[in-house]
Amino acid sequence: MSDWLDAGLLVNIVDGVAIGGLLFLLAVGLTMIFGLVDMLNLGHGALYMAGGYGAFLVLGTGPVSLMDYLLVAVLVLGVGAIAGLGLGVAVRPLAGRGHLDQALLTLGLGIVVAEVFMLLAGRGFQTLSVPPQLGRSVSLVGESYPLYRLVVIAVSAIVAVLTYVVFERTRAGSLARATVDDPQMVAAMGVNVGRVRAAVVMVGASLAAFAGVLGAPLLNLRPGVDTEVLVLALIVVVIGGLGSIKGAVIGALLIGQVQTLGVSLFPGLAAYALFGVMVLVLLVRPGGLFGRSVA
Amino acid sequence: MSQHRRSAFLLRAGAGALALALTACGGSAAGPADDSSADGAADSMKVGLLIPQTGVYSPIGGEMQKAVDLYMAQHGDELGGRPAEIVTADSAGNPETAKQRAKELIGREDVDVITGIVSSPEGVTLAEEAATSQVPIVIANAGANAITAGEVSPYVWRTAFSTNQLGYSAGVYAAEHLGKTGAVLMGADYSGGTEVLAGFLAGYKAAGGSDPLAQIMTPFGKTQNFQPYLAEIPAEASFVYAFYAGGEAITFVKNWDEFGYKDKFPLLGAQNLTDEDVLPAIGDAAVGVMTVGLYSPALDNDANAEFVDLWKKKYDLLPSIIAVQTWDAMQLIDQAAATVDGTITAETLAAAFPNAGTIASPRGDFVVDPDSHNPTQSWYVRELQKDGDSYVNTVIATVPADEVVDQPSA
Amino acid sequence: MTSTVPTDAVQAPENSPPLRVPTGDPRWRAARPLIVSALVVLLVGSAPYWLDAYSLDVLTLGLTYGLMAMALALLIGLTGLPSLGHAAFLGLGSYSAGLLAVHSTDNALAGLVVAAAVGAAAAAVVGALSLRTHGIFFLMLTLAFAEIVRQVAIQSSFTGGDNGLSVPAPTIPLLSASGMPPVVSVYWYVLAVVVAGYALLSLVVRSPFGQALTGVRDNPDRMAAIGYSVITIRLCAVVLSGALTAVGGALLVQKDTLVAPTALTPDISVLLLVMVLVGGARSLPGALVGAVGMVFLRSFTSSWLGETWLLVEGLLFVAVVYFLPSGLAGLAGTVRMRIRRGART
Repeated sequence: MSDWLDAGLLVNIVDGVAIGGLLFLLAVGLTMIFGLVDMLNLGHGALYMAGGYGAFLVLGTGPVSLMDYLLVAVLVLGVGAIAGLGLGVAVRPLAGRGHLDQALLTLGLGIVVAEVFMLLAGRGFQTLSVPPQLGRSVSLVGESYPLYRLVVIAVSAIVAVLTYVVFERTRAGSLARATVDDPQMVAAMGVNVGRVRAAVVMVGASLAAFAGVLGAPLLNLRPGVDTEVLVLALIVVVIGGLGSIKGAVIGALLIGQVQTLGVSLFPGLAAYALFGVMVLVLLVRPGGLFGRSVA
Repeated sequence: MSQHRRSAFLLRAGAGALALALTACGGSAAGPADDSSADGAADSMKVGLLIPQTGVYSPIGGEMQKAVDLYMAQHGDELGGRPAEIVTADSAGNPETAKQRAKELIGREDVDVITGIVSSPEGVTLAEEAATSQVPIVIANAGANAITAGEVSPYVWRTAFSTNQLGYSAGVYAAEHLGKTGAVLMGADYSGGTEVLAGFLAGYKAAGGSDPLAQIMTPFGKTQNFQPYLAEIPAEASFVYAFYAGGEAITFVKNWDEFGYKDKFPLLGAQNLTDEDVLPAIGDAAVGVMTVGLYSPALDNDANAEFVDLWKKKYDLLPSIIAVQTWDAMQLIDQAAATVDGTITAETLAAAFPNAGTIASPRGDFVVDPDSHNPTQSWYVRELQKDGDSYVNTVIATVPADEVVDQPSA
Repeated sequence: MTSTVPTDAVQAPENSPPLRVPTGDPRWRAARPLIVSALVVLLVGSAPYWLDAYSLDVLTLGLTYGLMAMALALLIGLTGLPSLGHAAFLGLGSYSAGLLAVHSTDNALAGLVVAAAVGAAAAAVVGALSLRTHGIFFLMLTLAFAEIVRQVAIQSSFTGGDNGLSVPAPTIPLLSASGMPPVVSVYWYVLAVVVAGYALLSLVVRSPFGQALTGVRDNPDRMAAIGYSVITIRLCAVVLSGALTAVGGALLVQKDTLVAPTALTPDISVLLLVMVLVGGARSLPGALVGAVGMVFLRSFTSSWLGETWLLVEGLLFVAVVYFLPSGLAGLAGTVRMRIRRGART
């Protein structure tokens, strides 16, 4: 009995990391765009949805080969970056007008994108099939566990390391961060601040769309999934602190565990756990765990 | 877009912004009572289709729209021998908007009856609205027990089910075939979930079952991963009964499969778990799952053969239970209207529902009970099987109507 | 706060002279706002005589949302606190007025008083907990509180769970006994409450407290330096806004005789926020018109366009941001300027 319980809890923890990994992919773009470009992107959920539905429209319902799957994932990364470019251009006229105007604009754009995909793909329930190589279950401490979730962990870990290194350890990254604190200084160094910001939005949007491909087999494709993931991503971002890659990692892992291990340990509180944890974190640290300053 | 909606649009657009105030029935709110409902125009019918066209419930609304479109096309846009028009309105799946839209359908479109109605909160609210405004509704999905409990208004009818029936029928089957002990119940934590599970327990106990081992409730509408809840199932469980619908049904069945529970416990579900509208998204994970429902496309009767054939020709898919419930709502309206001598109004139509008689449904013939206004119907135990590339809810047993109790005992 | 300096709703265009050239008789200019107000009151007050019952019902709904949008505009525009949780106060107002009507009295005014008290108390708690944060953090904390209240409403039996609570129609002092159709008496009642709410908010905006609010919004450090308690001022604004929003929620349940947890969804909070932004965050009449406009727009687009109404609404938001940077109130300001300039030339 206790053996079984321990194995069960271990699976819970691993699964929390998998869910956390997906949440990180969702949130990292949002936190980058918010923290480094000072832009509140309420269209982030729609970018996720567009990535998932876009892949679905290409791949269809039948079985999918690994090659096609990878190809589409790369394609979505590219298309997401182009969408990010468009988003940056769309928001430029709003310079100096505050977050709420950005919020209304990106909310509107998000609705348009989501509804266009509803018209293209229909409002029925859909999903993205996983290639057979990744679709099976493996044994994890004696329990059956879906391999695909281990893939999600691996992919999100790679993205986490890459984004961390690029944004916190390279010159380009420190320039991007400096554009928030002191744009004049960066401009004086001969760097095009607008171009740096556009690049950040492109990377962020591209990761959101990519999260849509990776997340579709888990969360499925259905109307309303855009707002569902937007709220999750926002929670992770405010827990972690704006613009912090490290914060997004910790926030995502925390929420992942809350939704798996937390639910197992305190089933009665499951419905309140997500927002309850966010409230607790913000009461203790009003700027999030790794927030540099309060925006 | 259908012809009628386009012409209505042009009419309104032409009238311009002032139409806001002045079109409609012309009378003012404070003025003398407006009798335009008894229009002396050529005898015709107007049906309001109140469905979620946007939001999380819109896949179900879309399925209803398809059923109504097919019915009207098949019957030459006539109901009860009269030319009929469908006016669709978006309820957005919430009771406040549904009530607002119902008032619009009644006050502005002057409909004779409203059908559709997906969620239970909408159903409960609209049942009250129907009684107040004296325009009948025919509920094609919302299953809340309260809608057809006690004294039911002559304006409220249902061609779907009561949640008690849905759970009770499964309980009877489970006690007889899956074991009288060791039941574990799982469901979404909202009224639909608790009512279906309560119905299951009532049926299970009536057929000799004992108290369940565990009842696991999951947060409604916000559970994206069932793994931690599945881990709560006691190892000594003899079977699991689950109620989930829509997106949650997809995730539940996929998780059940990929976390290896298929090899551990038999799974019995309510019809929604493997309904045809979620099957494409679930895929192979659903194979072997048993569910109890009021219909299967695999049923062997003439009405079903014809219906499945029509549906496949038009939509290239198998019809869902939602589709049949809506199809039958149209049949009920059609048959009731056919018994009306003279003009169709909300009043004459409501009075005609008790005379509608037997519905030759794809689910098998049934009558709507004259007291509860809810179908008296048989329930089918289905097992999902794969046949080539397609999935079939094969019927493996039937729970006859007289073994299923409609309402929970007080 | 970073460089958030939205242009004032009625700021003069650059090329207009700094001082307005007086036109016409000064007495006429002094009387004009009064005459305009009287005309508006006459037009809106007489609506039951020229609107059909359904449109009147929609207008009632729009006015109810208008009250709540104005209450939210007080926070967003005047205080600089963007709440995404106002559905919580709406819902608390609806449930408290509804439960009062079910269990005790169906007197409409009693419902308003109880709702205002509950809304104020809840807002005091939410404000005390969340005012340490700003911007997106404040936004998300308020959202979280609304979600927690919604979950309680879904899981409790006294609220009727997710099917909601059916509530008896209210008894409205003076109006209910007059024998007029309920849709008309409810309209006049709602109109009276909304006008009273507007008057109250207008007084608050013009009062020293209102000036303190904008002072705290624009320069909290200086306000603190000259001895104001920034947090107390903000808390007062949150409490007033929460109480008035709850009154709006009470009107909603009295009008619809129904409240369900769907009234507490983030969708509703977002809708209120959008009403304020479309109307113009710094203008009370803007928020009111924005709310009435959005309610009518949804009512008509959803029946004309079917499922694509939402797509069109999204496009509209985009258009508002680009073409009406200060919302409808800004548009009104611009039009007024043009007319004045036109009159001069």
